[in-house]
Amino acid sequence: MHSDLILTIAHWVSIAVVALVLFLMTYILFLRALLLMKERRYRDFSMLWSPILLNGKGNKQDRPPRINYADRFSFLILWNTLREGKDGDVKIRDWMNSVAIETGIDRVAIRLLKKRSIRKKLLAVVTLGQLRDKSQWEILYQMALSDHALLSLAAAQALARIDREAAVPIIVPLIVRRMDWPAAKVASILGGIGPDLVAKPLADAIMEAPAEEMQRLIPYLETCHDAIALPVVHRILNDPPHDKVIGPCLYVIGKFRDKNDLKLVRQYLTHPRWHVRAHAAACLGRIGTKEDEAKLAALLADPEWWVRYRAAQAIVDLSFSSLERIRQLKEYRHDRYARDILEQVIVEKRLIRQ
Amino acid sequence: MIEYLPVVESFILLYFIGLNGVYLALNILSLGGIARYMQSRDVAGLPHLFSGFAPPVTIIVPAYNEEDHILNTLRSLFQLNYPECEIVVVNDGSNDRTLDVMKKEYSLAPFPEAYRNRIRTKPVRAVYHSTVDQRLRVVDKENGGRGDAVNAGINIARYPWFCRVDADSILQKDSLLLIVQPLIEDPTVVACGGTVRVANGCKSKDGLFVEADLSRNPLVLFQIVEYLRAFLYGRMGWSPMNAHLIISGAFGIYRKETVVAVGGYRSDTVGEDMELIVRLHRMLSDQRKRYRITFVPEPICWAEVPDNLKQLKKQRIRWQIGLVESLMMNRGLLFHDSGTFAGWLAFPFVLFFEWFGPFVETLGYIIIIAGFMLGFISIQAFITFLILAVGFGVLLSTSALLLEEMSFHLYKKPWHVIVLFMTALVENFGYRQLNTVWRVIAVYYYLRDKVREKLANRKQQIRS
Repeated sequence: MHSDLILTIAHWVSIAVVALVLFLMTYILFLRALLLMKERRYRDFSMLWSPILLNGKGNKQDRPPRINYADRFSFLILWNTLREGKDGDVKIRDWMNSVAIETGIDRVAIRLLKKRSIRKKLLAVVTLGQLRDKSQWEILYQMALSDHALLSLAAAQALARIDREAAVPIIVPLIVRRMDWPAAKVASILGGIGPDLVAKPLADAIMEAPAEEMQRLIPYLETCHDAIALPVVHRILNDPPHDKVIGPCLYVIGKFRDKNDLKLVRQYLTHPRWHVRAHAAACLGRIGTKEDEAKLAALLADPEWWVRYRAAQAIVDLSFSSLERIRQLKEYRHDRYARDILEQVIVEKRLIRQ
Repeated sequence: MIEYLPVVESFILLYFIGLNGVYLALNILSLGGIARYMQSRDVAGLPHLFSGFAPPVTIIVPAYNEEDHILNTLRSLFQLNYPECEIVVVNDGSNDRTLDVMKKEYSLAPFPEAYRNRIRTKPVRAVYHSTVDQRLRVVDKENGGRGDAVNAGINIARYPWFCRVDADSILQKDSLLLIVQPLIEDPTVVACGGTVRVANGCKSKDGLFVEADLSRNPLVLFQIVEYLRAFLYGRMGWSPMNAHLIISGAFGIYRKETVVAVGGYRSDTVGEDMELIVRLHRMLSDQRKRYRITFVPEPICWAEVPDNLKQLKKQRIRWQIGLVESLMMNRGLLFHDSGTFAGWLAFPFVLFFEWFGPFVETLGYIIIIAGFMLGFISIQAFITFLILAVGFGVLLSTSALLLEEMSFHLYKKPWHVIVLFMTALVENFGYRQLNTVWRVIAVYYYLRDKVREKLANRKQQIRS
C-alpha cells in the first residue's frame, strides 16, 4: 500500500514534469519570436533617431518626429549615450537638449526619478543634469544625501551641472562626509565647478575636519589655485599635524612645485612613519635641489620597499641627475636592495622614454 | 538483504527530491535575479555612469605551454576597453616556446624588478618588460602549478585589484568593465567571477569574441547546456545569499590585499580556484568581516571545452578532485558559527550532493536496473523512476534555456534554440550518467591517494 502510494505520486509528478517541460519549450519559442520583433523595432528606431540627434544642428527649423510611448525609454538611453560623447560640441549639445524637451524625455526622466530601480534613477539623474533642469532640484538634493554612493554622487554631479554656485554649499559638506565617493570622480566634480567657486569653502571645510577626514580631503586642494591651497597646507603642517595628514600635504606641495617649502619637506625624510617618508621622497623628486641627492640616496636603504622605490624615482627624476651620475650612485651602494631598486627605476624610465 | 530494499529505495528517492528541490529553488531565485539584472542592464551600458569609478586592475595570465594561445590572448587583452590596467603574464616553467614567442612579438627586455616575495612561490628566473607596450610585464619562473604562477603575478602586481585570466580564455572588449561593476556598487566585495560560456564553434577576431554559434560536436553541445545550467542558475541562485563556493579560474577579479592576507593560492591542490574562494569564506567568516563574493551574470568570458571523451574525462576527474580537496581543506566552514549561508547551505549542499552525490546516484541506477532485472521492481515503477530522473534533468536544463532566453539570448538563430532543446533532452540519456561515473572514479582516486600518503607517512615515522 505504502509503495503503491509512492508510485502513484511519482507517476503524477513525472506527468507534471513532462507537461512543464513542454510548456517551457513553447514559452521559450514565444520569447524568441517576441525578441526578434523587439530587435527589429529598436533597429528601425535607432536608424531613424541617431542621424537626427547627431546631425540635426542645421535643421533646427524641422520638428523632430513624434516618439511612441513604448519607445520613450529606448530613446532616453539612446539620447544619453549620444549626448555623453558630444559634450564638447555646443551646437549639437544645444540641439540635443532642445530635442529632449520637445520629445518630452525630460518628463520621462522625472517619472523615472520615482522608480525603485537604482539604475533607472541614475539614468534620470544624469539626464536632468545634462538638461540643466532645475525643476527637480529638491529631489536631486535629497538623492545627493542618499546612502547609495553611486546615486548620491550622480545627484551631486547633476546639481553641480544645473547650478554651480548653488551646488557648492551642498556638495562641499558632502565631500567631507562621504568616504565612499571615489576621489577621481570628486575631483572631476570640483574641477567642473571651478576653483573660483570651490577653493574657499573647500579650504574652510578641510581646516574644520578631523584628522581622519582631513587626510582624504587635502589632495582635493590640487583642484584649487596655489594661492589658496598652499597656505592651507602650511597651516596644517605648522599645527603640529597628525601623522596621517602629512603625506597628503606633501603631495599637494609636490603638485604645486613650490620650492619655498624645500626645508619643510626635507624634515620629513626621516619621519618614523614610512608613508610620510615615501611622500617626502616623491615631493623632493619634483622640487629638490642638488643637495637633496645624498638625502634621497640614504633612503634607498630604507626597510620599506615603497620608500626605496619613491626615493629611486625621485633621484632619477631630478633634472641634474644624469644617467652616468645615477649609475655611479648605484655602484657606490653596498646595499643590494638599494642597487636593485635603482636599477629597476632606471630601466623603467628608459622604457617610458622609448 | 531484500528487506532493506524499500529503505534504500526511499533514501534514493529522498536524495533525488532533495537534489532537484534545491535546484528548483535556485532556479526560482535566479529568475528574480536575472529579471532584476536585465531591467538595469540597459542603463548600466551608459559609459559615464561608471566612468571614474573603475579601479586600476592588474591582469594576471598564468601560462604553461601556451605557445599556441598566448599571443592571441595578449592581443585580446590589449584591446580591452578599460581606463587603467597592466598585464602580467607568468610563464610557469613552460617546456615549449611560450616565452620565446612573447619575447619576439612584444620585444621583451629583461627588467630588474625589485621582486617582493609576499606570497612564497617557486623561484623566479627573470622578469621582462615589453618595449612595445608599457603595460606588459612577463615573469619567468620555475614550474609550480597554476596557483603558484598566479601568486608570482600577485607579488609583482602594482594595482589593488587583480584579474585572473586563463591563457586560452576569449574575452569581449567590455569584459573587464563589466566584471568591476559589482565592486563599484558594493565596497564589501572581495572577489567577483565572470560568467563563462563555451567558445567552441563561436566566431572570434584578433582574440576577441565576435558571435556565438553552436558546434556540431554533440559532446560540446552537451557542455553548452551544462555551462548554461551551472552559471545561469547555479551561480545566480547562490549569489543573493553570498554563498558562491567557486569563481572560475578562466576569469575572475580579486582584491589583492585580501588574497595576500589569506596566503594566496595553494599549489597543493588541482582545484586552486575553488579552494581559494572556500578559504576566503572560511577565513573572512573567522574574522567576522563583512564581505561579498559575487558574480556577473553577463557572459563575458569564452573558454574552449574538451571535444573528445578522453580529455573530458580527465577534466571532470580533475574538477571533482579539486572540489573534494577544497571542501576537505576548509571543512571549518561547515556550519560555521558566524551563521553564513556559505557555511550552512552551500557547503553542506556541495558536500552532500556533489561530494557524496555521485555514489548515491550510481547506486540508485544500479539498484533500480538490477531490481527491475531481478524482478523486485515492477516495470511501472521502473519506467516511473526513469521518467522522473530524466524528466527532472530535462526540466532543469530547459529552465536554464529559459533563463538564457529571458536574458542574453546569445544564440541568435532560431534553429539554435531547437538544437539546444534537443541537446537538453538527449544529454540525459548517457552523458550525465557518464559524468556521474567519472566523479565516482575521481573520489576513488582521491581516497586511494590519501591512503597511500598516510601509509607512506607512517612508514617514514617508523623508520625515523
